Amino acid sequence: MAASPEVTMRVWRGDAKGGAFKDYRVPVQEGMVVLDVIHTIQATQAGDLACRWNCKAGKCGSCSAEINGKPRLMCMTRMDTFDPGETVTVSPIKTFPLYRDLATDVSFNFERAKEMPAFKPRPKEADGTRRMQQEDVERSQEFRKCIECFLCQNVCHVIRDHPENKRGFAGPRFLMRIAELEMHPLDTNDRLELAQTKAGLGYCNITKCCTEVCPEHIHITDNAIIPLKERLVTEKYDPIVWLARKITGKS
Amino acid sequence: MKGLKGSVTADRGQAEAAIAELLSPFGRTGGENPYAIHADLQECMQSLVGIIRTEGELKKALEEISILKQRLTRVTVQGGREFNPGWHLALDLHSMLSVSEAVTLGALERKESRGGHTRDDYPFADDHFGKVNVVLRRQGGQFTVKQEPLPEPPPELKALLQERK
Repeated sequence: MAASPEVTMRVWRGDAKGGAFKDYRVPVQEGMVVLDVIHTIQATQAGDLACRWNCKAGKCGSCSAEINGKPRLMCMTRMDTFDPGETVTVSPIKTFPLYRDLATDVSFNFERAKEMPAFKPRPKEADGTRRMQQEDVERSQEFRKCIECFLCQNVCHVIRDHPENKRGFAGPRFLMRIAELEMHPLDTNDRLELAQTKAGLGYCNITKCCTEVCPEHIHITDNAIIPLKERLVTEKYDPIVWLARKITGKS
Repeated sequence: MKGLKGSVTADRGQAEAAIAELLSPFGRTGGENPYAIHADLQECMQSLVGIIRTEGELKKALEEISILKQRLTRVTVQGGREFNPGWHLALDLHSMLSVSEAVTLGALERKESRGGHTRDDYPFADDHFGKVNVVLRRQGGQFTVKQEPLPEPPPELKALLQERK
């Protein structure tokens, strides 16, 4: 058997104070993904190389990184997608504060998640059931595929180079969560006010970067954010609705 | 653990000893790589304490585990304490080796084949082992293996088990 070919991995090493890319030569076997190569580096060259991972199957959303500048899951990026001899650069997701190496502090997302009003179903019907149309159920099913890898949050230009916007913007993942619950036929909570104010729906100018990087191929922009924007406009800016509100005094 | 009441106390000396123990892999140089020990333990358990077991292989596994325990005392890690996977593995290896040793000792004690435990040298289920649990206890780093009787199953279940045979 021929010796396995080697690849040069350029991996970010450092913490919040600073750091640099470091090159590692690693033997690569058939079928390996970027995460496997990172693990090989840990096992043989740099035992303290920090990175998050769990399932190795693209379902836990832990191993998000930027591979050759593209936000991706390390476990779902096969090494054979690169040209032979190509240097593969792996850096931490940029939008969140760096702990060390490839591990970042994504607590921004958990804070935003806490602000989402939970699902609150309407009362049961007289016969003790709740009925929904299949069509209404299907609309939000797509959003349930989200694995919370936060690649969409990472790539979103509203916060990527503008940490000051993080205060007033929930990011694609949570705008999608609002859309999901707003579309739910049984839900009674109103999240449009949140979408308009604290979640910063208006900041999104639908460049679709989030959709492009989503490993679950959810149509975040087309199926969640744009319908949510439309809903908000209908509710808050429709002139007839506005006039009716003025007259009746109801909000 | 059920017997514990109130808060657990430890004196300063105990805490400091525990911290020193946890940090000891940082202090050494040129020692064992935790990942190498891990890989060798995986290989040992896979090939010697796998699906089909025999006394000879299980005893060989115990010897290998004791060598790995020796190697673990020389384990060395680089870097700092934050987010250091090599250090975490070095700490986890203590538990992994304990579990591996317990599994192997238990498998040696069970001279029968039943369910997920298959002994090539004892290919059939033994009624005796249907009535006991193999219990391992560790004190001062040393395991003791003991067979403890199980409560008799109720007659209706017993009848079902007889039918299966």
